[in-house]
Amino acid sequence: MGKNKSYHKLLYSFCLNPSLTFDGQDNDEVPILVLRANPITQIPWIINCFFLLLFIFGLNIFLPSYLNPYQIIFVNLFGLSLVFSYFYFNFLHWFFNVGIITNKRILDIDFYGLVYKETTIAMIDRVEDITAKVSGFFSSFFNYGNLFIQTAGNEVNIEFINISKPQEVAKIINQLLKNGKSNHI
Amino acid sequence: MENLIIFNNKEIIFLFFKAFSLIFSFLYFLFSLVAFQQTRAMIKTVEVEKSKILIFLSLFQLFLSIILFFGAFFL
Repeated sequence: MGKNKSYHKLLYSFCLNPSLTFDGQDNDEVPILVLRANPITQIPWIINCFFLLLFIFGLNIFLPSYLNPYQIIFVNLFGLSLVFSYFYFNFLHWFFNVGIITNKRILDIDFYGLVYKETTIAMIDRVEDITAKVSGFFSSFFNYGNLFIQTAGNEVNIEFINISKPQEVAKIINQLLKNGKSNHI
Repeated sequence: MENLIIFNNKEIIFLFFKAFSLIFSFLYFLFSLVAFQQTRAMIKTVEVEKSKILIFLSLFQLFLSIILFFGAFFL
């Protein structure tokens, strides 16, 4: 890990020292780590897109018997638009459901559907316990899992689900705890 | 009696097709509009380097939905 050197791995699911800003960021707050779900966990909806495309192409075998050419073009365009929207919606869901670890706080930003947003924040110095869980064949093979961060007092606990390298993230948070508010890893 | 039949079977299918196309393309337009606004809200929450690409894709989706909606009128 280079000092303050920005790098990302696994399609931006594990970004160290990222160039990113977020809503409510303090002037002296520096993002150290940005976490997203491991890309492997996104494969089901990518496969769905593939099958939806196949279905649309399959429809073209039957449509000429019932519809005129202009209507067939419309059905195809509409179908492809829906597949694009499905893909884009899932991509946005993956891309913006992030965990951000700064030199001061840990943030978990979750978007549910299109209109509901939830942000959970815990101060670094209030972290009491960190548990990294990697269970199952795929999780072990692709090195992803869940991270549970327990905080002291009334502050909420934070869960990062299906993130890449949970042990390494736990190590970084531990290091931050040890260093106090230092942002040098 | 035969004079009272205004539509034949094919015309009824086309009429239904046009009605459904208009309704669904309008719903798709509403969805795209919400998705566009939501993308802007997401980018405001977490600002990344390549956020312009996401805005462009949302606008593309919105543009596509408008084309579909107007295209449905000429079916």
